[in-house]
Amino acid sequence: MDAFLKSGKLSSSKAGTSTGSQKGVKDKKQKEKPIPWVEKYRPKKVDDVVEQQEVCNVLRDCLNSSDLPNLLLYGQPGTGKTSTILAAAHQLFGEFFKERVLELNASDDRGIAVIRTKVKNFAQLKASSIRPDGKPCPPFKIIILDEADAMTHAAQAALRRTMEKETRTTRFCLICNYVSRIIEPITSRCTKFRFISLTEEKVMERLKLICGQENVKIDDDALMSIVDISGGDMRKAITTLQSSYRIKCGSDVQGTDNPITKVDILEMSGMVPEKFLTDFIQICRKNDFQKLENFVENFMFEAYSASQFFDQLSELIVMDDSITNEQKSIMLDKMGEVAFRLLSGGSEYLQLMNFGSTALMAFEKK
Amino acid sequence: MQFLEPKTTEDLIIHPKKIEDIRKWFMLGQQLGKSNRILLLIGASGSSKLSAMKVISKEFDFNVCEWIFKAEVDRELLMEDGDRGYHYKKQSELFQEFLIKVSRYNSIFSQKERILIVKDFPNTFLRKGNEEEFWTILKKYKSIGTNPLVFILTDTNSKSLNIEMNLFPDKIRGQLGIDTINMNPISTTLMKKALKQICAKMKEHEHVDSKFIEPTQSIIDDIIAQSQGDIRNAIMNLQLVSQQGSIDLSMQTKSRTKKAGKAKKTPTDKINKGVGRDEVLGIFHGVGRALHAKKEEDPDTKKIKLTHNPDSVADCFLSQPGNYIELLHSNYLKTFSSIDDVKDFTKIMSASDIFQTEYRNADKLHVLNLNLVIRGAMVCNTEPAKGFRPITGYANKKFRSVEEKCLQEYLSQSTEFNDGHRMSLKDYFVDYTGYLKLFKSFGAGSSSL
Amino acid sequence: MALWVDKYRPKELSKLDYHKQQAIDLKRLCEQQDFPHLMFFGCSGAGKKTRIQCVLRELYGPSAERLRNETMNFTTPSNRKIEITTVSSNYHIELNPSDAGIYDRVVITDIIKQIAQTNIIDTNGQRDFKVIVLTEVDDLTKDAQHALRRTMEKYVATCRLILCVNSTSRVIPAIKSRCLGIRVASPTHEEIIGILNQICQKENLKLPAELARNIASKSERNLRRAILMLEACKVQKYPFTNNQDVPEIDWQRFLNETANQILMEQSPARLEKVRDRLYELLSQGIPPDIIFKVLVQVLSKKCEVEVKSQIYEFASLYEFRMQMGSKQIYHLEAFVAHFMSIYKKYLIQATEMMMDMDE
Repeated sequence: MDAFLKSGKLSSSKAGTSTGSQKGVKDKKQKEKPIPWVEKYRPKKVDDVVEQQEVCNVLRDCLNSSDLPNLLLYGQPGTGKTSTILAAAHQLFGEFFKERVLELNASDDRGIAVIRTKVKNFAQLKASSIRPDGKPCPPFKIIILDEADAMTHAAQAALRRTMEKETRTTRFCLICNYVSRIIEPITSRCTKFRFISLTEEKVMERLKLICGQENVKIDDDALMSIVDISGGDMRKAITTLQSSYRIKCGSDVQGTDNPITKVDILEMSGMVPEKFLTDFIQICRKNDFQKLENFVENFMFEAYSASQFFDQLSELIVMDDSITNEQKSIMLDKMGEVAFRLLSGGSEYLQLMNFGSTALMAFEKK
Repeated sequence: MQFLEPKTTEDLIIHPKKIEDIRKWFMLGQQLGKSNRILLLIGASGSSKLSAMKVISKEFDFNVCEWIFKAEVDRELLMEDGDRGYHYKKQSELFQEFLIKVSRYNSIFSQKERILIVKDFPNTFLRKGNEEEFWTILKKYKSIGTNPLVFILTDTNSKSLNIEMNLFPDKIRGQLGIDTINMNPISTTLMKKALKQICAKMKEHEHVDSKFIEPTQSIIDDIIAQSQGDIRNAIMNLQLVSQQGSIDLSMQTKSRTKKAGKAKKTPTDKINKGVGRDEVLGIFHGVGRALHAKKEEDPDTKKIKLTHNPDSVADCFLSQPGNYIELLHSNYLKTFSSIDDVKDFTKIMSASDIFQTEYRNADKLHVLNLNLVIRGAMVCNTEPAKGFRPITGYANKKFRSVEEKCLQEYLSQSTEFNDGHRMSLKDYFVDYTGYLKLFKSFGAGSSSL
Repeated sequence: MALWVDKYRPKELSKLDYHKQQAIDLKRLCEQQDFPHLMFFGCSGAGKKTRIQCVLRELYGPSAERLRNETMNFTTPSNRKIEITTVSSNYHIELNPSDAGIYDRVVITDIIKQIAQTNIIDTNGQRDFKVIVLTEVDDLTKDAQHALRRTMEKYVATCRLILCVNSTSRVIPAIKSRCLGIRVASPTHEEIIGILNQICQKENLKLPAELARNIASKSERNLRRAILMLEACKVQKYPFTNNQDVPEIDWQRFLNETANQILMEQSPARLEKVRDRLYELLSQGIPPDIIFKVLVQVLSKKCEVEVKSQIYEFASLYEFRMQMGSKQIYHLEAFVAHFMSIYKKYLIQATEMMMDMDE
């Protein structure tokens, strides 16, 4: 890694005061009057980033030495990958952030053509070590490729050439959920950092901070359930909070009469209420097919998502000690199949029934 | 082959009636004094469309002018070589030039009238969307051309290549007064006669081919069967067989059988499998072969095996796997007697639909899929229904018009309810239509209609 | 004269008959400056569209109800011309992109771009965005859904999307996370009965309690169907009687008959007849998933638990394949054949058991 840090501090040519006007999607969002809280409360400095000590330390060193290796950040969604690199870039370039950073995410077209033209063109622009206002700054640009695992392999291959060629003036930062979806030649050219899931306390802390600043009235119970639902995903936690705030408090500035409750949160997040899960297992245990049919029918009418149901049920089944391992394995095996079919368009009713009858038979076995 | 070309109408082995048809067309043209008539001659390959045209033209003293397309290819090649400066004319322009110039400026060498024959169509017209261009040329020809024009078309199975359908729709035919004559594949008796004549001729002119050996009657019969009404093919095969005479026949047979890899019974059969063109099954025939799969016991291994290799059946339908599978699906139920067998086969059909829908890697997948279905049909049916069941058409044919009608109804009514908001297809058919019918059936006193 | 379903459709959020709390929440949402993308989900006949219309009215006032029909044309990359019919007001446009079949992606990218790029004509409008209502989003191909997600981000400045979805399981998570989900549960039997009574009151009819309950339970908690049934009852016979027949729609009767035919005989010949009937249903526009569900429900009722579980097992397999594939009849047929085979064995076993018992 040291080798990476030492590399390329060469180009000192002063051409290129402005580097074009690439605008990421994020800019557009900022034009909107109300900024989503996710953006508003993004960490401004690397030190603000919650947890992820390892990465932060490295980045801090980099900031001090004004250099950066090629980075590959990966980890669960909402753990601060994008926030971290954006914060670092802001610290490096200050107000000239826009000229030096190209941000592309999966929503932009990212076929080979884009890699070949857009990325290449940006990479080939010269970067001076002095800012237009005379202050020193690192002589390179950063290209951030968000959601890099959604790129096609061909595009990744095209990227690898560009990465090699442009090391002198450009640093790449790839962000993805699954490092295994990035082709080997690219991972070997990057310093990899894994972002760990955030602990409940950290999420809670952050949410409380936001609630305080935005004047959100919310039950502790509700807060706790947000944290629960988010499962260490900060983005999800914050958006859930904001959505419920929007719906519950609205323009009503005080929002006093309407504190957000746990029920609201559950409704907002599309979670299936616990009652359905336990009922379901109960019915399967009792080996009552008629009841199972009725249950599934009713469940459908409530319009909850069947895949969400399975997500939650899987956890419940795994944790339930009264179910034998054999039963668990039968059920979870089926669940995998059924959840896959659901995602590809299978009927919720039939898939639920299929799983239900399997579970029913599994409980029979004892 | 060339040397055997028919010279008089008597030599032609087309059905005399058809010859008469063509003659009539010529005569009609002369009687009416209209010289720029257009004829469409359609027939299977090798049904001697061109030969007939040539012979009869001669009879009526016409010079035959054929649209030849070669020069054109050369020019295109030139283009590709990078010589961009070369003045290059579009195919369609060349075609137009041919039609109009040739017909207007009579050759100085002969005072005979000319007849234009177009057999190879310029490619550009075959592309979708270019039909209009072709029609304009035709119309132009109709107005200024002076000579009769004949288009010769070969029947094909594939839709996209069907010139008849695409370039000569009924509308255009009516508009331009295009006549059509359909040629049938040559019948077995006529073919037999022709081959005999040829053999006789060959003997007369032994100097042309000193090695000529007269083939036996059985071989001729097989050649005829193989050719399926294609005289060109038959003559070529005859030539091949007759020349082979010098080589040891049995040797020949062995090497050929290995290549063809099919089950064979009689020696003559063997020869023919070797020399015949690839067996072409009609789609109905092919489906029948899969559904009424013949099984026989292998004399060596004592295992039951299929008489017809599923691969070779599949090979015949690679260009249209979808159609084949659909026809098979429409007809398979009649040949099954056990519901358990049906269960197994429908399982395969269900999987096959998934494969057929998959568009990635479609080329390979669809070939495999076709094979899967054919094998499935051959193997799954352990207790075939007794008696022969003819293959009928597609089972859903009669429902297509209903579907069309319902859809039209939906489109016209979808915004009538719901306060002018769109109604989804599903809601419309599942809920509204049924009740609307009910309301109507109770007739008067209805509050809604 | 409009049908009752349309006549008594609430036009304002405050007049909705059930999910009142949700209506209040929606109203509050409409009052705010920033309006998110919305996704309404629920079974058919639960009232999603009604709510969407109410939200539009809340946003733009009554002029959002002045509608016109338009057809939009576009060309696919393979040069095919496709027409899509839309319904629009000055402020919003409604379309069903799955009308375009496999070209739905083109609709999403091209048409929405077109709409999004033309700004609102009304200058004194309260909103600086247009609304695009997309129906049956769950029927879109995955390709189109990904395109949709891009579109949502790209044109967020000029338009908002309101999606109408039956089953959220078929919507990719990226879309779900970009929308505020509004769950529209089907009305309960009591709620349906309440609404039926209201309608009868307005029409000056007397609705016996028994009949109301009957309709509610037959409607499968589908309000639209319940109201249509009520009107059908009225047309059929009025004054109402307590034990009056609730008329069945023809396709339902037809499908039930088909199921009975399957139960009566299990042979290839019978299957062929059943297949013709299925073709007929499909050609009349009855969605195959509904056919599938009804068949499974009717058929499984006749079997023991072990057999039932088998039925659901392969029903779920074939139904899934049907959604994946393109020829629905193959899979429906495979299901029926499978059922016949199992049911036949089951019957034989049952008779053997009986014989044993007799001995």
